[in-house]
Formats: sequence, structure tokens, C-alpha cells
Amino acid sequence: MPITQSESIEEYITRYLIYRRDLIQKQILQIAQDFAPQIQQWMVDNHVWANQTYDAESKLYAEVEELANGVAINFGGRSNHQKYLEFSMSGRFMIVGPALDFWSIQIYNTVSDALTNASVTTIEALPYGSTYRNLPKST
Amino acid sequence: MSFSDNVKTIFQADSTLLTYVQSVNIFTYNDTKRTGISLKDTPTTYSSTGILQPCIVIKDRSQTPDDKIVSSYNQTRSTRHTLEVWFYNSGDIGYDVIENMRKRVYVLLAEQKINNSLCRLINNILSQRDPAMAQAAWERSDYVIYTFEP
Repeated sequence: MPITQSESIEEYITRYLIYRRDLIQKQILQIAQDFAPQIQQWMVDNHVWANQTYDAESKLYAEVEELANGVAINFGGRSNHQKYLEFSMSGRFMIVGPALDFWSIQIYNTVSDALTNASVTTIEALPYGSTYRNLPKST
Repeated sequence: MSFSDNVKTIFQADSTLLTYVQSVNIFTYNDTKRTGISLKDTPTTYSSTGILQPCIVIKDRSQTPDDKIVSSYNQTRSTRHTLEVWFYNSGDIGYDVIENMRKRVYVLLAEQKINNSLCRLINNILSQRDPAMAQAAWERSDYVIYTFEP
């Protein structure tokens, strides 16, 4: 991403950081989209209730939502008795809580690795060399 | 001995908490067996007229490595898990005693080190009812436990 002759170094760095931020946001969105179906399948595979009608199992979901300043993975169950399953009798049939335990750290680690790699890339990509030396002086 | 067993011991040794709940009505999840809080498995939680008494259930959720600390030298690996503390009382009495128990438990656990583990409050679920227990009043506090293996 080269600097243009008409922009100062401050403008260039600002533009560059926005560019990097958008790249990271896209990367995190991709991570969320990769994880969401895995979370949904994990809940289907690991719930402890015995299916009677398969209503609760078929209504388990994990969906990605893009927010103004981030990305969310919303997951749970849309069955009418999901709240009962999750909280009744000291959570004997809960699945959302265990899913949160199991996946939150994996997502955190994956995003953390992605940000670390992004930071390295950012440092390496900063305009050292001829491009940097040819920058116009800041006013 | 599981972490919840240690926490149960701490609760049962606290005289302030015992002003709200009888020592015999503090359970680990394992103590409550198949049916949970019930006349069958936890008869002390009900009065002679069948009214639910204040009680606490302590439950460990799954332990997950968080890899904050890893050492192959002595097999150390840091982990975290969620500790749920469930507070119950009769649905006709409501939440005053539950709130007192919950606040006392916070004093006993929050930011405390227990057996080389750090406890931190992450969630309070308030003012709930359990249809499987005749609409008993319940609340739950979740603490994340940072610890390490072995």
C-alpha cells in the first residue's frame, strides 16, 4: 500500500491503520464463520438429554453476527423448553454453558494467534526502505 | 477431592453463611445424585410440611486448558473452569435469603486464592424460578477458576 505524493505521513499512517483494522476485522469474521458450524455440531453431539421428539436438538443454533465494532457468535437453542433444559435441576441438561466453556478458549486462542500474526505482518509491512525515505516531510 | 468439595468445606465453615443456610443443605453437584434437590435425594432440604428450605448446590463445569502457562519440564499446564453456585429457596418466600447467601458467597470466593486457584465472579443470574421444583426461587453465581495442572 504505497504512500501517495499528496498525503502526509500522518495521513498515510492513519489510512494504513484503518486498512489493517479492516483486514483484521475480516479475518476475525472468517474465524467466527469457521467456528459457528462447529459449535452447532458440537452441541448436537454432546447434549446430555435423550431425544424424545428431536425438537430441542434440531433447534440448536450458532450464528455469526457482524457488529459495528466487532463480531459475535450467538449460540443456543430455540426450542420452547431450552430454558428448562439449561437451568432446571441445577442445570442437569445444560448445553450452552458447556459449549461456552469448550469453545471460548479455542476462539480466544485462534483470534489471539491471528492478531499476533497480523501485528508481525504490520511491522514487516511498514514502509521502510526507499518508499519510506521518499516520504514527504510532515508539515 | 474436586474443587467444589473444597468450596463446600469453606462454605460449611463460615458462621455468617450458616445463619442463612444449614450446613447440611450445602451440596456439591455430586451430592445431589440423579434427581437433584428433591425429597428423595436431599430430604434435609425440605421441612416436615414439605416446604423447600434455603440450600446451595456447588457445581464444577468442564476444565479447559487456556495455555497461559505451559511447561514440559514439570508438566504444568494452566486451565480454567466455571464454578456454578446455585442458591435455592421456597418459591413462596422469595429472594431475600438467596440474596444474602449470594453476597456472602461473593465475600468468600471473589478474588480469593483457594488451593492455588484464583476465583473471579463472571456472572450472576438473578430472580429465576424452577418449574421442575414447584416454582422454587433460585439464583446462580458463576465464578471462573484459574488454576493449573497437575
